[in-house]
Amino acid sequence: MNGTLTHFFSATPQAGSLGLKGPRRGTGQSDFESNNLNAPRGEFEFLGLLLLRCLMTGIAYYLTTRIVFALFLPNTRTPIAFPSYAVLTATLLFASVRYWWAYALAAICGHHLAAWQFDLPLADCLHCEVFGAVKCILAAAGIRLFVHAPLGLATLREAFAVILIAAIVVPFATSFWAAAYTTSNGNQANYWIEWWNLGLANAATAIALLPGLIIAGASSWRWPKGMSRKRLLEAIVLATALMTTGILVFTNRRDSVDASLGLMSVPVPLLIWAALRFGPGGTSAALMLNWILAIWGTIHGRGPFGGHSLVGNVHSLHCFFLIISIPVTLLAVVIKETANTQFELRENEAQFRAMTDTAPVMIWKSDAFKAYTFFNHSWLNFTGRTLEQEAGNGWAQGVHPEDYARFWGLYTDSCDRRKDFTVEYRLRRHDGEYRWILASGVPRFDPYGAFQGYIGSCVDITNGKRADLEIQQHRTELAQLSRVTMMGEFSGSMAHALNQPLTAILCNAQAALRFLAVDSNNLEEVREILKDIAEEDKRAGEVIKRLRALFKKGEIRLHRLELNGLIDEVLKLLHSDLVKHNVVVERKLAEKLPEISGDRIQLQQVMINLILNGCDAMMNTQWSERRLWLRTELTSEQSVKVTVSDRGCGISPNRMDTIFEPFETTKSKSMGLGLAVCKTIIAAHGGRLWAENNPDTGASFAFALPTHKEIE
Amino acid sequence: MTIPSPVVFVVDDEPSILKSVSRLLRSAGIGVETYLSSKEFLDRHHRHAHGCIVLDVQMPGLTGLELQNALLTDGVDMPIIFLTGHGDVSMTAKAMKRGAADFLTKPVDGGDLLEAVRVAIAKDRISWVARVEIAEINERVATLTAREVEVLTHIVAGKLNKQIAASLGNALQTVKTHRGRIMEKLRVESVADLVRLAERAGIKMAQ
Repeated sequence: MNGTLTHFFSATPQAGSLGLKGPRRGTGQSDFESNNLNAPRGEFEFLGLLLLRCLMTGIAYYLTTRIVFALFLPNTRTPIAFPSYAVLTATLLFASVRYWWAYALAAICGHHLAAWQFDLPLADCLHCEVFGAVKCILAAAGIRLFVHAPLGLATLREAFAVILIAAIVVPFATSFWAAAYTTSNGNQANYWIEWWNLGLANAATAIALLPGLIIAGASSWRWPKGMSRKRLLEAIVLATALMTTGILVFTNRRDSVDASLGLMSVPVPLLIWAALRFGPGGTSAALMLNWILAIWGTIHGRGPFGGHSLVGNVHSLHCFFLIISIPVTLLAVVIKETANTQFELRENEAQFRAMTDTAPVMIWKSDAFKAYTFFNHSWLNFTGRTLEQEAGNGWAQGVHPEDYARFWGLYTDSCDRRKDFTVEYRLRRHDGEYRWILASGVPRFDPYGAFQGYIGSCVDITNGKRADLEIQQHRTELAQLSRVTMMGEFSGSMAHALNQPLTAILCNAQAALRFLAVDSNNLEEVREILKDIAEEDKRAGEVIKRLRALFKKGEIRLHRLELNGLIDEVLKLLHSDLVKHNVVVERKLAEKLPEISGDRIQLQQVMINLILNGCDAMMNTQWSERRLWLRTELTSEQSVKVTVSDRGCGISPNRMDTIFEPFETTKSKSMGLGLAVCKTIIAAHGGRLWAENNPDTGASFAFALPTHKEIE
Repeated sequence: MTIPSPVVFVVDDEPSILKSVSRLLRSAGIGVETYLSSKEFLDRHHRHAHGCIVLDVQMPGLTGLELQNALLTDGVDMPIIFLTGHGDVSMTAKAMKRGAADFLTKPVDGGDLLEAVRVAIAKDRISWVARVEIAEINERVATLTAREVEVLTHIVAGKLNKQIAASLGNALQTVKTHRGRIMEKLRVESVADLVRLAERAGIKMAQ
């Protein structure tokens, strides 16, 4: 029997290189034929190849059928094993479904030749041929139904499908018919014994041979590459041990050694060794070796399977073999699958590193405890430091001291809420220069939803920021709009204009008091002084009147204005202020807003004031909550409304009535003219400015302006 | 020479300020002269005056600080009290460094101003004598002709008449005549007095 098997093996590599050419990972499992159909080699050549492969299949089937006939139990027509079943099933698994008929036909021819030599009755012979082919097609189709990936026993799912269908369902299901046929032909055998016999023989054959054939086919019958000497030595030691124990256990004479169940289990540790170290392929080879030795021993009345009739002994051999080999095969597949997954993980990790290191942006990762664990090359090149220096929170030494608290507050806050974040801050470059960085991070979660930290990127936006600054400086008229200058100049000119009359009044009054103290009858002098005081007072009044006139309707330069555009301009202007306050602005601007009539500069002044007020109000709000809503809407045909809502501290009710009064302020650095000026400007535009507290948190300032049409 | 009664010179472009400040000073019995611009003050100012100056910082034409400069180069060290609308630190520091007596912010309290004026006048009383003396000497030196000044530089250098005549290429008699006229114009009796006076007037020795 060993001789025929060797023959089988030496014949199949040739067939494999042509017909059983296994698909590589990633290509379709039955691409071989279709590839050839499309190939420029032509249909004729393809037909030749197909014929050759069918011939090989026929020869293989013929040889294995001879083995089947050779293994008939004495005085029965029931064989011990069906290697032909495994061979044809494996062939079909690697062939395209549309040519299955050709392979089946070839197999039938091979069987017919063997049966003819064996002098089998023609009816039996034909039945066996058709039945065998159907059995193999059922098994192959069943496996294909469940396994869509390329074959190769790489996953547990595939191994389950192969074992369940080819080694359990199909053998025992088809043996219902086979047993019925055999017993109906005048055979005296019991139907159920016959059913059990056929089912077990097919099942044991499938589990012993099919995994090995599938793996061999998947690797195109090539010996695994890159096997080290150590491993080869290990394989030889294992094979020798298997061979020795197999011979000792399964072929010993029953009278010399006690044939206990314990003895049967001797090969099991070796099989587990094979599963752990040599994958499904090695395990399959080891199982096959044991199976062949056990069959030989049982047939010759040796080994542990004795004590009953030969049929009974074969049954217990097959049962024992099925029970051992199914878990061992699955174990080997699981181990292989785990190893593959780990390899893929490592490969993914390596790919991630390679990708991030070649990326032009800086990339970092942090863990669930807020510590940074990874920086890519771009980052390390930028800071000029090593990964070890930057890891943990070492990198934060490079953050500009003024930005550190703001960044860290936002980062930890986002961490605690598992939210993504975007932040601008300054980071020290290797040459010591602080550069503006736009950083963003997204939280990472493991498959069970547990927070794993952040992954994020950073971009150097200094150049863009500089360009922005220059644009700002070019807009000289807008530059002086900055709140500080406006208030400074306003208070400066007002102080100067009022100082002169005030000085005169004070000096005059004090002089009068002195004159009266010296000589209370000097009324002429005092009268003069009082006249002057009255004069100066009027002058002071004039100054104030003139200041108020600045905001009067007549002095506003009215233009047609588009409010949404104006708001965008203001936001550009205030970008750095917003970043400094870490305020995110959300715009809800109405589309197709009608134009209004107004003074661009003055209305910008109002917007700037309201936005900066909102920012100031959110000084004590949590970093991630600092949001400002800007809304524009058309409230009626004639009126446009602009709302600025913050999430700050709100306005206390007792101040609600006075916030628009001049010199009303809660800020130590402000003169408190901002809102008063805003109100004056809006009033001069024919509009209205008001404030209210939001229902949830913060306050809203809103103003309504008449549309351009309305003014006309 | 008797010291004249102190006068406060008030310089401001704002007539109402001039009027009210001078009233205040008069109410305290202090003499006042008012000027509407720095130029007017420089034109009419009397060198022998004693008192102080009250100066507005921001004025059209010559500002208060520039006027202070001009007076310093003129050798007038009368104390100056600055008045300003809103004084910034750098301006104040500059003025004080140059010897400003005080720096007051408008609207100024009458008491503060009077106090500052009194302190300044007291200070000026000391420097007035020296100032007037030097001014008088300068006036006398100014009457000398160019030739006489030349001769004087040689006398101060301690040269004899003969040596002076040789180096100037004059007759001995001419030098003697010059010398006599110098003594007369500068109203000195001895060569020692002449040398001391020339030193105070800042006349340098001839080489």
